[in-house]
Amino acid sequence: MRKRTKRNRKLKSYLLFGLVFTLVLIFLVSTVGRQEFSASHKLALELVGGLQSGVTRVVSAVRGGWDGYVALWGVREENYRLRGELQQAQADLVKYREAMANNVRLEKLLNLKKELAAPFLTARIVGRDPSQWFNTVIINQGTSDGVQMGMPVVSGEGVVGQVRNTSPHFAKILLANDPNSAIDVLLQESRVQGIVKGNGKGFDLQYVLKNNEVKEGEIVLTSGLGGVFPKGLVLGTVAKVVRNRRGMFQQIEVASAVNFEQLEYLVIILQEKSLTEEE
Amino acid sequence: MRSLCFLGLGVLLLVTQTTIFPALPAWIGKPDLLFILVIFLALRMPVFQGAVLTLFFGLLMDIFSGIFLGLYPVMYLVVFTVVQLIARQLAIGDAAYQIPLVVASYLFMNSVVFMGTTMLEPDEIMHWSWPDLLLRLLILAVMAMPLFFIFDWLMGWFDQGRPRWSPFGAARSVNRFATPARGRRPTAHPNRED
Repeated sequence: MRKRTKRNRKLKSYLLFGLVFTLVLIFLVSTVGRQEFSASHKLALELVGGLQSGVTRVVSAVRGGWDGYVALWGVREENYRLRGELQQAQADLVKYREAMANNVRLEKLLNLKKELAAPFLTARIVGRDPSQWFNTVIINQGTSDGVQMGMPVVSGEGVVGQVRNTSPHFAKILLANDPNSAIDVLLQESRVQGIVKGNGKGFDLQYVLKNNEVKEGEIVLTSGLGGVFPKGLVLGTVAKVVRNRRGMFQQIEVASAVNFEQLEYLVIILQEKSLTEEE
Repeated sequence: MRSLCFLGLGVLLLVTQTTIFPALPAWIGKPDLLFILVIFLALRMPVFQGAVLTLFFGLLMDIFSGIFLGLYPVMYLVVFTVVQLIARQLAIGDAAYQIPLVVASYLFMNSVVFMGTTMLEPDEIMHWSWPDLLLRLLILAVMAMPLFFIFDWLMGWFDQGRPRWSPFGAARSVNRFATPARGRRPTAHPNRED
C-alpha cells in the first residue's frame, strides 16, 4: 500500500514536470517565431521597470552625493594648505569644471538634435543586461511616448543601437556592440561599404573585399542602407586592418565612438515607419 | 505566502543586478544572484512550487536580458530539473556542496547558452571569454553561502517560525539515507509533496 502511494507521488511529480515542460514548449512555439513581447511580458516590464527606474534614481543620487563628498574632501585638504582663502575659489573651480563638462556634453547632444531631421526623444537608461552574452539596456520611454520597435537610438558620440521591444512606458534597446547587431556602414574617406557587427566589446567590419584600400583611423559612418539608421551617423573609427592570404574579405576591427559602459542618456530617432514595421 | 515571498525576493535580486551592479566598478563583476535563488529552489522547494517560480524567473530574465524570447525559461528549467534529479540521488543539499553546485550549474548553463546561441545564429560572433566567466564564477562562489543562509532562514521562518540553516548540518541534510530522529517517519526526499 505504502509502495503504491510512493509510486503515485513519484508519478505525480513527473506529471507536473511534464506539464511544465509542455507549457514551456507551447510558450516557445508561440513566442520564438514573433520575438515580440506579449501582454504578460509588457505588464512585467511595466512593473519591474518602474522599480528599476526608482532604484536607478536612488543609485544616481547616492553616487552623486558620494562624488560630491569625495570632491569636498579634496577641496578641504586643499583649503588647509591655502589657509582657507582658496576654499571658495577651489569649490568654484570644481563647480565650473563640472558645468563646463556638462555644457560640452549638452552641446554635443544639441548639435546632434539639430543635425537630426526626424523628431527625436531623450530617454534615460534604467536597467542593464545582467548577462555575459548579451548587451541590452532598458530605457524609461515606451510606446505611449511614441517609441516603436526598430527605431534607431543614438547619443552625442554616435550610434548606440536600436529599439528591440517595447511596453507602454519602457523599452529594451539592443546595443550596437551586441553580437546580434548588424549595421550597414560606409567609410568616410574611401567610401567602401560593409556591415558592422558587434562582438560584445567593440565592432567588426565585415564583407569588405581585399582589393579595397582601407586605412586605420578612417571614420565609419552609417550608410543609410537598410532603412533603420539615417545616413552619416558616426559609429567609430577603423582600429586594425588584417589581410589574410585566404578568403575574399579583410578582417577589420572598429573602435566604437560610444563608451557603452558609461551611457546614461540616449536619443531615440522617431521615424514614422521603422524597418521592422515595414516587414 | 512562501512562494510569494520568494517571488518578491527574486524580483528584488533581478532589480539589484540590473541597476546597482552595473553602477559598481567593473572588477566587482555582475553576480547572477537570481541564478543562486534558482539553485536554492531546486534543492529546497517542493517540485511544483519550485518549477513554477523558476519558470517565472526565466520569463522575467527574458524581458531584461538577451533577445531570444524563451531562452531563459528553458535554461532555468533545465538547470532546475538537473539539480532536482541529482539531489534525489546524492546529498548535494548540504552547505559544503553549495558552492561547487552553484559554480558547476552556472558553467553548465553558460555553456548551453553559448552553444545554443551559436547554433541558432551561426552568423553572429560570440566570444567565449574565460577571464569574464571566471570572475563571475568566483563572485558567485563568494555569494553562494551567505545567500543560501538568507534563503534557508526565510524558508525556515515560513515553515516552522525558526531558522532552518546550520553550517554543514547533517541533521537537515537532504541525504535520504540519513538516520531519522527517533519517533519520526523516514522521508524519501525533502522536496516531495505531502
